[in-house]
Amino acid sequence: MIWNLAIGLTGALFAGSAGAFIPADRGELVYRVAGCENCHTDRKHDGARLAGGRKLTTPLGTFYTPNITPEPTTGIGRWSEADFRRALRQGVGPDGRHYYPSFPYTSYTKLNDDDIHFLWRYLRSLPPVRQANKSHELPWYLSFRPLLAIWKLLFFTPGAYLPVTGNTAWNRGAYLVNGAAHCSECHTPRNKLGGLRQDAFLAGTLEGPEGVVVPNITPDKKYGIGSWSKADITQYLSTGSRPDGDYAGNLMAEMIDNSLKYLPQTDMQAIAEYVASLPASANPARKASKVGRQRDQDYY
Amino acid sequence: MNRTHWPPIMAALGMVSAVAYAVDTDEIVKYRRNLMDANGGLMGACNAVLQNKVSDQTRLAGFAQALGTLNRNIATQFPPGSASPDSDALPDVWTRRAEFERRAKDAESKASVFGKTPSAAAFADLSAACKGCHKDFRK
Repeated sequence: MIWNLAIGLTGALFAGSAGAFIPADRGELVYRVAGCENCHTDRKHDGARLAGGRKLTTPLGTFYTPNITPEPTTGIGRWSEADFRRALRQGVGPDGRHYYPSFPYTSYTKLNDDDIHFLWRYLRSLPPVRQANKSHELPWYLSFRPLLAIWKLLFFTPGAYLPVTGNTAWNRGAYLVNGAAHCSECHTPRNKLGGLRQDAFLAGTLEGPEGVVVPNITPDKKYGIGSWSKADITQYLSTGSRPDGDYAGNLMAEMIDNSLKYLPQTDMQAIAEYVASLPASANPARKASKVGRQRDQDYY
Repeated sequence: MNRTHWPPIMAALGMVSAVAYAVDTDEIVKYRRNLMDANGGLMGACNAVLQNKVSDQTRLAGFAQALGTLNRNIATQFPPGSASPDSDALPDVWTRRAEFERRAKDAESKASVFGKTPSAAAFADLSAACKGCHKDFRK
C-alpha cells in the first residue's frame, strides 16, 4: 500500500532524487532496494547478472549464491510466482527444502504482496543465463537441511510488515530497513546458532559477512551514528559520503552503488526517520584501525 | 672469526631485520592512516561548506588546495609488504596493483582539478573517485 503511494507520487519522487536515476519500473525498484544483484552476481569473476556463484564467507561456512535468472534448468525458469512468494515469505524452495538464512528471507518475509509480485515480474523479464549452481561448503552437521526447520522455529517470524504507528514516513522506513533493504542481516550481531540478536538490533558486529566489521548504526553518540543528522544519513545512503568526510567501503559501498542510491529521496528520508528513532546501543563494533583513536566517537 | 660464530650472527641479523621491517610497516600504516584522516577531515569540511551547512566560504580554496597536495602519488604510500591486520587496505591493493594505481591516479587528477577550481561539480567527481577506491580496495 505504501509502495502504491510512493509510486503514485512518481513526479515528486523523481524531482527529489538529487539527480540520481530512479527505476521507472516498480519491480526494478524493489529489485534494487532488495540488493538481489549484489549477492546473485559474481562480479569479482565477471559473472553474468543474477547467474549466481558469488562466494559468501560466514562464520558458519561458505555459501555460493544460486542462479536466479529465468533459465529453466539452472535458474528459476520453472518456478511459479507462488513458488517465488513462498521462497521469500517462508524460506522454502519449490522442492520443499528449507533455505539457509544466508538468503535473507528472514527480512524478505516482510515484503508486501504487491512488491513480491512486481519483483517477480521484473526478474522474469531479464535474460536467462545457463550456469549451474555450486554446492555450499559447510560442516557436515549443517548439511542436514531439515534441521533448519528447528532453526526457523527459534529465530524466524514469517509474515509481511504491518504498520505499527500512524507516522507514514516512519512506517515506510521500518518497512525498508526491516524488509527490502534487509539492513539488520548485516548490522545486527548473530548468536552462535546464526540467529539475529534482537537485543542488539542494528548495533553492529565484528563478525559480519565476508569477515568484515559491520558498524553500529543505532543512534548511540559514541559508538553509533547518534551524531549524524537525518540529512547526513540521507546523504550517506545516496552517495556513501559520511559527515566526517570518509566514504563507505567494501560491501556497504556496493550496497549503495547498486541498491540504495536508486531509492527516491523520500524513502531515504523515511529510513533516516526510522533509524534515528531506534534505541541507542553502546556496542563498540569498530574496525581494529578505529579502536583507541582520538576520533573514535566519529567512526560508526 | 670462527666459522661457528656465523649461524648465531646471521640469526641475530635476521631478527634485527625482521623487527626493523615490522616497525617500518607499522609506521607506514600509521602514516597513510593519518593522510586518509586528513583527507577525510578536509572532505568533510568542504562538503559542509559546499552544502551551506556552515558559512565559511573563505577557507574553501585552501581546503581544496590541500586536498590536491594530499592526493599526489597516493599509491606510493602502499608499498609491497605493507599489508597489516591494523590496516584497512584490502589485499587487492597489492594483488590488483595496476588497477589500484589507475584509481589512485584518477583520484589524484580529480583532487588536482578540485584544488584549482573548488566547485560542487569538481567535489562530486572527487567524492566519486574516493568512494570507488574504497569500494574495491578498503575493508
